[in-house]
Amino acid sequence: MASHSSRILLGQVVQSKLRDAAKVQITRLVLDEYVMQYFPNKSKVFSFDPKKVTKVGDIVLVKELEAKRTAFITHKIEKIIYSVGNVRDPITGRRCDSKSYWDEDERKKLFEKEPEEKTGLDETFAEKRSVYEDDRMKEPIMSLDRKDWKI
Amino acid sequence: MPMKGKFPLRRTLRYLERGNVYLRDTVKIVTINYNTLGETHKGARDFVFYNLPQLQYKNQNVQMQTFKNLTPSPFIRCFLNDGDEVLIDIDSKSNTSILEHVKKLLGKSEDILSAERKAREKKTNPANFGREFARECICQVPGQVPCPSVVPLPKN
Repeated sequence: MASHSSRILLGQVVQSKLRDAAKVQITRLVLDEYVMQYFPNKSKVFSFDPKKVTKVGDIVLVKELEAKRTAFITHKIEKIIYSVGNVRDPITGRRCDSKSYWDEDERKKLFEKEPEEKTGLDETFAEKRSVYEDDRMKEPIMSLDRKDWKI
Repeated sequence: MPMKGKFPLRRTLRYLERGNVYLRDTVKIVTINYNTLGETHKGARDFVFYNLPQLQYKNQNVQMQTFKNLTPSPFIRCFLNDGDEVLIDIDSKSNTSILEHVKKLLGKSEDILSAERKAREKKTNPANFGREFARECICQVPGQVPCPSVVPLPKN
């Protein structure tokens, strides 16, 4: 395993509280010697993602760094393969779900704004996104200034 | 007492060792996308059921993963060392033809395999002496003439 020159792995992004890294869950098949069947074995890897390009649930390609960034961050996000809820079929290049390919014109009529597609870390500047998708969490629930409290 | 499960022959060592597709060293990840329903995906489903364990057994260092119900058409997507991708469309193909296609595209050819086998034999063959082998010189074998650098050879 150590002899591989460039170690790449495929995994799914999982929730993590880290500021500049994504926790990626990698499943590999491991043979159970007694039952003689392959079962998935999960392992977690912290991969460097400073601009928070990945969302929880994305399938990503992760590459081992030459030198560890911190004690935990050993890999970096190489490429987003399938974005969650927004899968692009690699053969045709069209967005799809398991049943059919999506009609882009119809979707434009139905939905005002489609989720942004980010394929890699090539954004020059990206707004730092919070871990919570909900917009309500960005504003404080109650003003922290005592003057504003009506008691 | 018969073995349990659907086609329990898959779960024998002999079946796993029958796999004959050895993927090239550059292939690191193999992903198979297929649907659980649909006649066009039947070959892909059979490939995952019958042939994926054999493939994984012979290529222990390759990460193999399956994705179900993501796209309407099935395909195999392999990721190579240098960031290259190989896409194989397996729509409406039988599992044997899929396996042959993978073997042709990404499998090691018979020449490479036989060369590797010879290289392995060379190492284990006790008749070979040298720096890369188990023994450097015949003087290291007990019962043979000792090394002239340690014990000078007789003058006759």
